[in-house]
Parts: sequence; structure tokens; C-alpha cells
Amino acid sequence: MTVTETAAPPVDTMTGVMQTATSVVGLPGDPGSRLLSGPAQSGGAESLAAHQARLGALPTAVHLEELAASGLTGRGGGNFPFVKKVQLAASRPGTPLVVVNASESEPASRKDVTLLALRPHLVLDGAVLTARALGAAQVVVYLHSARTQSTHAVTAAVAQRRAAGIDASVTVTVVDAPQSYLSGESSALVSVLEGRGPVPSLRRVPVAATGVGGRPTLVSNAETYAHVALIARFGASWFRPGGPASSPGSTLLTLAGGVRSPGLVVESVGQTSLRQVLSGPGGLVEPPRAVLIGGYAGSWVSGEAAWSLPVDRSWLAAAGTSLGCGLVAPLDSSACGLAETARLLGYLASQSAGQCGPCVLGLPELAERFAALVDGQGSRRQLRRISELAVSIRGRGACAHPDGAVQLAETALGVFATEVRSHARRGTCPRRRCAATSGLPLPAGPAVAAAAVMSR
Amino acid sequence: MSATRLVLDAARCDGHGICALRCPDRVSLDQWGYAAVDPAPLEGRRMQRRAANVVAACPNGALAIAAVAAVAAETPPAPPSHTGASDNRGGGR
Repeated sequence: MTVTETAAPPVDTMTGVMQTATSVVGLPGDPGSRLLSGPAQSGGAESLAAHQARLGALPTAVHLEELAASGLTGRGGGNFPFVKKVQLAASRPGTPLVVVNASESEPASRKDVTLLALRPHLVLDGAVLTARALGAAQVVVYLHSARTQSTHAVTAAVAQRRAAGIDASVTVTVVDAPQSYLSGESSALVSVLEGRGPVPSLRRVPVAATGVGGRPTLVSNAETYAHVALIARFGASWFRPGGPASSPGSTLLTLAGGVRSPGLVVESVGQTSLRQVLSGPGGLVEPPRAVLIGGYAGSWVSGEAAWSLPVDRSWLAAAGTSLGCGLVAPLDSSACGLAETARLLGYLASQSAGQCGPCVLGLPELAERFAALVDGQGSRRQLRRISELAVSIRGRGACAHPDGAVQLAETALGVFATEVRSHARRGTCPRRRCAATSGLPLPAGPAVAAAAVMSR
Repeated sequence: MSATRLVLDAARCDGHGICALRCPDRVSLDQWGYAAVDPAPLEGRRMQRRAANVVAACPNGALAIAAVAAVAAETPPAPPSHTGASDNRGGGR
């Protein structure tokens, strides 16, 4: 590993704090952060000049050995080793395409838009370095243009880089993602880039091998590329202590639901627990009733259990609770977990691409039966039917969308068993809070806009 | 010859049901009439012939035969199942 002499490391010391098990939860501008270190959030997007003054010029290359040694895995939810995806794309014939997936279609997640809005050049550096490693000439940044702050930051950053001529042989294009929950799923993303709708498909081979127009298409999350930019500058041995040994490097999380500032993005650096993440400045002082982890198609975990969970993508995945997009949403103390789950299941059902029978027919019924539980119809027969539905739906789609909805439903039944019984007996929850809103936002309408190329 | 199995592209299945009639060892119809495929290896020439027949008979081309070794790469990554909850997927319904 070599450290660029002219560049200040993005943490205050290269040794000491980060090398030990000391934990840090960094906010934008916090010197303890890595991706979000540098100017404070109020400064908006970091310019190319400021970015290069802080971190040094764009390195000429990122070496695959360094990426492999870093242990970097995808931060969009898949947790797949990044270097393996790059190697797969590199091994296939055809001109590769590099896609920065910044669509972040999880309604409560903000980590990617925040990263792009504050540090657009970090993401673009990583994408351009990956393109060079693959011999690709084109990078696509795939995002929701309705999120104007991050979109403006990216288009301005692309213009600054073009004026400075730093990306040379690589062209960066910004493409608008349709408004749908599934538009960021990699096969749906390929469908959009091929000029069709955001519709997933069963892939016989991964899109990294055969994607857009048959070309190897490396689709990775925006945060993943930002890590590549820092690994290229500071090396794998700097990167790894940013996280636990089983999940190297820092990771971005969005706090939502029953927290003081829903939508707050924090960077978990070192070995942290969800307790540390949630009880930071202005945070929770005691475990909430439950925490939704990983996204709306994620897992409910009881607050007591969540309190001691490590922020460790690999550990959590092995334990059956994926960190997914990095959403950490405590149930608001004024909300009912059962009613919340019914609401989220209704949303997930509405976002089915409409292709696979068990998803088209099963998810609406699952949502309706949860709504019935909230209404007090929690008979054994009702619960038995929900279990049957789960078995009939799981593993039956061309994509994992229906499986995610089942995961949400099943974990809710486990965590909110008391609420299910109370609703069945008294038609409400123990604390009669079923009508309250929880702070978990849903998009206003399911309008699916046609994809449009915004800049070239 | 390496072991093979039947695979379904659920996005193409419209529930015609010919597959379940002709290859009941590996295909059943779910409560809605859509094909549910047992991923167990196709055993014996008779079952392999039946499977090849239903691949050809599906009006939507939703079925295919794949090597068992390739299954992991073809199946979309499912979210990990919750610990403690029942974890039976595929095959045993």
C-alpha cells in the first residue's frame, strides 16, 4: 500500500483511533468520518478544486489486488465482494459499462443522495477509476432527478471534471431513474438503460457478465464507488479498520422513523453497535419497542435485541437480518408496529412489477390480511393463512421483491406477537396507538415516469 | 452427464398448467394455478424426457433445464431468512 504524500488522509490520524476498536459515528463534516469528512454539510457540494486540495488528484489507477485486499463489498444491500464483480465483468467479451446506482428507491433512505449532494467527486472518482480498471469508456450515473439537490451536485461535478479534463477517456452520463421501488434492482436498471420500463427479469447470468445490450455491465451502489476512491488513495490497510474484521471499511446509515431527525445520515466507523448509532447526540436513551433494519422489505427486530446488534453487514446477513440499504428505523414510540407493517406491505404490494403470479396475487392478500389483524381479526385461522401465504410467495418471483415482503411480514409477526393478541382481543394495541403516524414516509403516488437521458 | 434440474422463469408463467399435468414429479400448481417447480435433480431418463417435453410444451417458454451446479448463479439472491422463523423454501411445500 502506498499513501499519496500530498494528500491528507480523510481521518485525523492514520494510526491510533482507527486502528483500535474505538468506535465513531461520524456526521457530515466530522473529522472522524471517512466518506463524509471534509467541509460541513452546510457547505453543500464540495467543488472539484476543494476535493482535490483535500484528498489529492485523481489517482491514475486502482489496482484489483488492492480492491481484493480491502474486502470492499457492495453497499446497496447485496454485500457482494466488489472485486469479484469487477473481475467477472473484465472476463467477458464486449465493451464494459460502469453504472453508479444512485437511485436509492427505498423511500426513507437518504445515504446515497446525501453522499452525492455533499461529495459528488468522491463517487465520480471511484466510478472513473473502476471504468479505467475495466477499460470501459462510459460511466452512467443512475438517479432520481426529482431529488434535485443531489442531481444538481452530480451534473455540476460532471461539468467541472469535463472542464478540467481529468477523466480523459471516460464519458460520464446522468440517466433519470423511473419512480418505482424496483427501479434500482439491477436487472430492472438494465431494462431501463435498454429503453424499457423498470421491470426485473430472471438473469441466467449476472448483469456484470451480460447486461445492457449484452455488454458486461458493472452495477454498483454509489457509496461503493466512493469507497473505491479512498482505497485507491490510501490503500486496503487504511480502509479495513474502518469497520469490523468481517465487514471491512466504514458504512453509511440512514436513521428514520422514531428518531429526532429522520433522514439523518451517519457514517459508522470502526466497530459500532446499533445502540451507539441510535443513542448518539440527541438520540434515543433506551431501546425502542422495535427497529426496522435494512429497508421497507427488511426485518423488524425487537428493540432489546437490536440494541446489541453490531453494525456489521456480514454478521447481520448470517444472522438473517440484512443491513440492506443501511436503513435503521426505530418504531416511533407513538406508533403501532402492526399497523406500520400493514401500511408498508400495502406499499410493497403496489410496487410489484406485475409479472409473477405469486407476487401479483400474494402480496395484496398478505397486506389485506395484516390490515385485518390491525382491525382485530387475528384469529388462528387468519394467522395460519398468513403462514401459508408466506410459503406460497417465498422464492417464487423472478426477483427478490416478494421475498422481501414476506421477510417484513414474518419478522413483524414474531416481534409484534403481543400486539397481534391485543388487537384480536380488544381491537387495538396495548397502548392504543394504532392510528398514530410513524414517520416512515411513503411516496405520494406510484407514477412511473419514462426514463430520460438528462445530460451527455 | 452432470445432474440437471428444471428451472422456471416466474415472470413468464401464466398458469397454463401443462407442465404440472405432464411432469407431476417436479411441477405442481400453487393455490393460484401458477407453476411451482421442485428444484431437485431430474432422476432417470424417463423423468429427464418428461422435463424436456414440458420445456417444449410451455406456451410461454417459461421453463428450462439447467445444470444443478449452475443453479446458485441463476437464482436471484433472496434476502436471508429470519433466524428462528421457519426456513423451508422450495421443494417441500
